[in-house]
Amino acid sequence: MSSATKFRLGPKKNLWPYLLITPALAVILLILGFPVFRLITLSFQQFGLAEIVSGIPTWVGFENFQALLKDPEFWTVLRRTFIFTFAMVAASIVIGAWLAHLMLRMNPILRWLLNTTLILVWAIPALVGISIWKWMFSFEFSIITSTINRLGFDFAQRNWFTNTFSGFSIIGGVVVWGAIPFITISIYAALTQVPKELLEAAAIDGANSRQIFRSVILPILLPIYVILISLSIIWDFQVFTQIWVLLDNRPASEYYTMAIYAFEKSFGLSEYGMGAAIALLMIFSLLGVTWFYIKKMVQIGDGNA
Amino acid sequence: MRITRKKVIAIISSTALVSSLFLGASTASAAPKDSGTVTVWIQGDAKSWPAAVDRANKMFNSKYPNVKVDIQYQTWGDSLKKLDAALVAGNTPDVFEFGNTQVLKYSAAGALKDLSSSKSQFAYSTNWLKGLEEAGSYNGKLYAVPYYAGSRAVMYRTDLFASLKMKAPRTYEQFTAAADKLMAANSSNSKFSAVYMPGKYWYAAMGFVYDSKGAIAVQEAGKWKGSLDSAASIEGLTRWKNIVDKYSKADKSGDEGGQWEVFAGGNVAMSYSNGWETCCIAPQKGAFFPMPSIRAGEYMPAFLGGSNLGVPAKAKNPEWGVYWIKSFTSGQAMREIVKVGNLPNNTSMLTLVKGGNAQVAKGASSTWFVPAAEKWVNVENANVLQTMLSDIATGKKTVAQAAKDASAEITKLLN
Repeated sequence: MSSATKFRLGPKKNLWPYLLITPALAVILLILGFPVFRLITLSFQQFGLAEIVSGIPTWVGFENFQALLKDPEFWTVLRRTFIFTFAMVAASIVIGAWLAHLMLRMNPILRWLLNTTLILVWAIPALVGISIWKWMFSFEFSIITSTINRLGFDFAQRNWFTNTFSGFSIIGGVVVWGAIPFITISIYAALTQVPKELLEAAAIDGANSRQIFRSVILPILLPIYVILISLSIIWDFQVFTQIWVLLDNRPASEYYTMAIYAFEKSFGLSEYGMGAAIALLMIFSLLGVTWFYIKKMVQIGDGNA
Repeated sequence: MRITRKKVIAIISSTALVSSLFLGASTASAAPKDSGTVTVWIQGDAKSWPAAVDRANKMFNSKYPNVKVDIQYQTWGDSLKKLDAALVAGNTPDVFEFGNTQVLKYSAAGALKDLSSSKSQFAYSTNWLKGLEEAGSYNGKLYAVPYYAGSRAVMYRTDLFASLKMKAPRTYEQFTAAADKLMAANSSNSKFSAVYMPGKYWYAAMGFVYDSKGAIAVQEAGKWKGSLDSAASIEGLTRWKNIVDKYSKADKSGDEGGQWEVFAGGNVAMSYSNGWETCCIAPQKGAFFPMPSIRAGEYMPAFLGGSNLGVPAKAKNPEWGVYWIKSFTSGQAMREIVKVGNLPNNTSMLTLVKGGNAQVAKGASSTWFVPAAEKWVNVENANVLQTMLSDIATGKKTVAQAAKDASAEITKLLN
């Protein structure tokens, strides 16, 4: 009541929040807004080395987009990226959730050990972590290959990336490995926040553990899952460093995902307009997936509540 | 004798440069700057010849004492991306090092300053290595100055050859016969490569193609056409595949990046290597012989790799850039570059190349170079050749099919 009267009495005071937020907004607009603006304008231009040197871009309308949508390689890369993203998100959420539930029931010493390991994984800089994986699967000095050979198999020396399935499995392993700490710790934290009374009440009412999970735990955890899954989609859709480093900065085209494809077009072939168009399409398809997904999850949440 | 003559040249050319500087300045109606910073982007390789860099800086600073030389070492992987970004931002360096296969695209696009008028001021410009000079020229004008070159020959284990009482092969038949003998003598070692040949080693594989009188691409009526699917090219590629299949345990999808490490491991008898690679193969002992051709008495064409130094057209201090290049390619600096195991940028200093490198230099009398197409670097960046070769080596595709696919791709990328 009193705040409502203040609201009406002092319109001047109301400017303060806006004033206070202005510097932050301005900075964000500058840092984020300009590149996005540049990206959008670039995607409608032919912008190669000649244009860079002359400083005068050639406007081409929707030509970049038309060329892309007609290029079968674009669709192959898009499909590959979707499949890869789906598999990575599923794997990292399932393993993460499983570890979190495990932690809840674990011996405290073991839990401490697991926690420390997870945080260590998280603390390793991405590039260092990936390089270690690369060593483990290298051709000449692979510890994995030599261990397998020692177990009595004969893999001789093996390039794990010759076959794209085993190659993508390793890349996926690195991605999931890097994603699990955050997911596990988040879910574990959320699990500890589920009120004990609710669980007890449900148990007294005669619910079995599956029912308790479905009707009590899941609704409470749902917001966390929504956030984790949408973040994972965003991360996994634009995976770049893992593929780039594991494949010696020269990934063959059968390893192109959208991010690599855009990068190769832009920087490898100096077709920056085309690269920008790919990046824009990538953002749109990502927005589409995440938006659809979040909407659906929120609906489920509303239904249960 | 030579030094004094060069000093004279240096003085004359520097006076010429200074006067041209004044002339240029008078039109710009501003006094020429005599202090500031000259920004140099060269590859980190130069960290192996710091003495040359020191000499260049000293020579530069004796003329421009108040100009600071800011050397920023680059990496091959992303230096062009950084250059593109710098061009957009209007923040280009004053000197930039290109690989000799990269420079043409930039000269053709007008991204580099035309250095033709100052050509005579550079040391040894009358007998620069032809391959490097051509790489730095476009339409008869000079855009990038030859810096240094590198070539490859066969590095071999002297002890293994001696134990089988073999000498360095001089014909292709002797080469394969030696490889056969080595394989037979080491048949118990499953990791042994008589010839270590990674599947993506395109500098080696294309040597076989050019030795068979094939080519990567040819120009027909003003258009480029991929020609790896010609009968001659396929013959060369097939010979290369034979080497891979019979004598090599190297990674069929790998590149030559760490081959000296593998050589050091002791399971390799021969590898197609750069002159400097003997540096790092201890405890093994290696020597070189030029790779023999299929034609008796000739060498297989070797890829003449190397670097050129250019001044971006948008450089803030182009005069300083030119003079720094001049200092860095001076006779004194070049001597230091050669000492480390590189080939000089000119023919008259080739005699200074000593030891194993002398064999590499000998083999460099027969060379091949990438097609002089403006867009060639796109073929490199799209990994067309590496992909084709690893498809051939792993058997994913037949030689004919892989060559046909790659040729189509090359035709598309070059035009």
